[in-house]
Amino acid sequence: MLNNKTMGTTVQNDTLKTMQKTAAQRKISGSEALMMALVAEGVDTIFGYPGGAIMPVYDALYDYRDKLNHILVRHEQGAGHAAEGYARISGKVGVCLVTSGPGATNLITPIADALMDSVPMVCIVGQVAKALLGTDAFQEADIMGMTMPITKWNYQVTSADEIPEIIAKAFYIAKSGRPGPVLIDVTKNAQFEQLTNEFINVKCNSVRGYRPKSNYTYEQVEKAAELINAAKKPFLFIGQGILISKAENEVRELVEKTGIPVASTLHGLSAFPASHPQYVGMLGMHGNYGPNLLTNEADVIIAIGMRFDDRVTGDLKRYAKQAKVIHIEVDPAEIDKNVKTAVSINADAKEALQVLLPLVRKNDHSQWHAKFNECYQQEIEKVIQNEIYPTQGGMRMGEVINMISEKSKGQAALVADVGQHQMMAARYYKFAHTNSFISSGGLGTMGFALPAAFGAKVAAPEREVIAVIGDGCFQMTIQELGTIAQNKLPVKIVILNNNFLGMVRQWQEMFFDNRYSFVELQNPDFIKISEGFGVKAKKITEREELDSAVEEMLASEVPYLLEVVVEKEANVFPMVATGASVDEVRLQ
Amino acid sequence: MEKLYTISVFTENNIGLLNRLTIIFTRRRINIESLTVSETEKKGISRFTIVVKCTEDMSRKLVQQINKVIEVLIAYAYDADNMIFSEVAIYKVNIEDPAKLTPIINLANEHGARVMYMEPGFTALEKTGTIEDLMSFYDLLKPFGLLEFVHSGRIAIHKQRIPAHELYHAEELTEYEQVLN
Ligand SMILES: Cc1ncc(C[n+]2csc(CCOP(=O)(O)OP(=O)(O)O)c2C)c(N)n1
Ligand SMILES: [Mg+2]
Repeated sequence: MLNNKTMGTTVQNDTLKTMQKTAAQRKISGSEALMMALVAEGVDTIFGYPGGAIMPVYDALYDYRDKLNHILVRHEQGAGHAAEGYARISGKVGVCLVTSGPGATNLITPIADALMDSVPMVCIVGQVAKALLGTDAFQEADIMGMTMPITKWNYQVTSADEIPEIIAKAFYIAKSGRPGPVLIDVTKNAQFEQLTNEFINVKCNSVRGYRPKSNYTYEQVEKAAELINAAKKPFLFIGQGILISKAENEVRELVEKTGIPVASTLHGLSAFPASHPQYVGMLGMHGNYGPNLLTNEADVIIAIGMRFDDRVTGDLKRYAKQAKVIHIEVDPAEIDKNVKTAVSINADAKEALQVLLPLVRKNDHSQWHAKFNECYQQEIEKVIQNEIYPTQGGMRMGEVINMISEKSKGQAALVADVGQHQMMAARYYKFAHTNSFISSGGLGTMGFALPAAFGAKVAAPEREVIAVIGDGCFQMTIQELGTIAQNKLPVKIVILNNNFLGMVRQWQEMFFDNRYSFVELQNPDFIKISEGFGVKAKKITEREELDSAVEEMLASEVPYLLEVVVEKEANVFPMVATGASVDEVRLQ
Repeated sequence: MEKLYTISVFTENNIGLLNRLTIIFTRRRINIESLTVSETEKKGISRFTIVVKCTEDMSRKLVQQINKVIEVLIAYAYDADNMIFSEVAIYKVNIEDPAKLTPIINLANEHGARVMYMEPGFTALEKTGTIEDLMSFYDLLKPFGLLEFVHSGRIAIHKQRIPAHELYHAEELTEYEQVLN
């Protein structure tokens, strides 16, 4: 293979000529160049769905089946979420491949989801030939225009020669800095055309004007350390940035070295062991009581790799006003966006923590910890006890999750959909392994979990992957059972069936006077559907069956669906109602 | 407090970039007062000058979001005190009555406007200046009968001594970002 340097000076003129000749003889199409570029980026899996405008690429893929494992989904949305699941569990870039027009528009939801949740993803999308652009040709859609606000970067390739460089750039942008989705729109002529020269394996390590690297001074870190060392009631918040930068050990060191209590955002879950004595729980609307309440008592808040989403802060005007906030964050646009900082460090979490660690010292925060414990005792009494060890009524979502947590010893990866079941999964699974909570947080996309779960399983076959899905969500991407069956992906699927769009029902109960407006579902027979797709399934309705059913599910070596019929009208608590302050968190 | 901010954006000259930048404003319901785009003296690098009315906090957030766009080399915002800026206007004035020609030409000379074009019936005058200058000249011409009036968006440079090319060439813009923002 030619490389730029040898092309430059050392190669004799005639050698170069023969090389170019053989290149011309090899006649590499844009499609094959795309395959080679993907392989060069270390891609091993593609989630996709073929169609007219991407057929040359699928034809090239036929010769690359041994290098690129293509998983045929049942809907392009499934491809997108599967790529997200793949990326979230592994930190690698998820790749999807779809056709133009409807194939591309079906990807819009997962792309928006990936931007919100900082998921590295490269979407390769077919497009009509360059000559037909703008003519309303069959299956032409302005996907560039449509995805501009929801991609980190997008680009339309109109000639084969651009492919190697653009693909390298796409992967670099998707995974560097704050990760995000990149869309590459490839016109059909670029797929067919031959490259003018031989394929050159380009590596992209920088893009002019794009500066994903840390940008802070040592003085800022010193100032942060001073605040931390002097704090009486310091409180550490960790977000997904910890997982992305693989800073779990550094966070643990910081926590143990300083004695500070630590809470996690929804996406930060599993970055810190839930059983650790200094772990006080989850922040946010349905987070734990203490972390919400005491946010408004802390004197110093250290927030790392999180973005103060409104579901975390509640009413911003009454959020942590008494606290000096230290924000460590890789995306400069997040700093001072929602919460004004006393010290900001625009840096990758791991890097910043490594600089910070030697500067902090241990303090006694036992009284401060005692406050968290007090709050936790109240929460146990008023909420948790009845949720995980109920003595009457139908099964509770919390008890199901708790059972799964115990039986899997906190080692499984949970992929939760969106709704009450999601909050219950986040609250009651005791994460003991990193990268183990995958859910749609920013966009709250119902239907995320089933495809994301098999995507995660493909990336981490050695992990136990359990999808926790509501009866409503399940019916948004239920067809992906077909993908799971065809590819024999042994994910475990738990349907928490309350016959309701439960989360919406809870809001209608609490804030709309019990007026249940279109939230009750007449559900199909999930077991028959599952079996129809070839996925083993079981339904339980009684508490006595739960223990053995979970065991059976976990023991299964094939994909397995467990439907658990739960209490219809149970609510998720604690809760910080919309517009309320975090210290108005309600236990009931 | 809301006031006018001029945001200067240096970018790669890519298709679609205008759209990528404007959606940052529309999404936050910020109206663009004026927008000028042209290639800089350096081939392949464009300069956008965008004028918006907003709070200082919002101007900073807009700049941060603009800087996130991959093709943006650098962006910064300044209020009027820290910018040198100008606009150009063209006035199409009625001269069907030839007696009016002399007073119009005199007025133009007094106010530093230039006759660009003339034919029986109308003349076109050109003037540069701030929007206030341009509008007060508009008021003076109005009694003569204005057939058409157009003014450009603002173009602006900041009052720092940093050469612009150093800004968008630098690998590490850290120091400049701190000076500029
Ligand atoms: C695509 C989409 N549509 C609508 C919503 C609004 N929504 C949020 S949670 C929810 C109910 C989910 O129902 P289900 O899957 O049964 O979960 P449950 O809350 O009952 O556990 C709805 C409709 C959403 N988040 N996503
Ligand atoms: Mg439900």
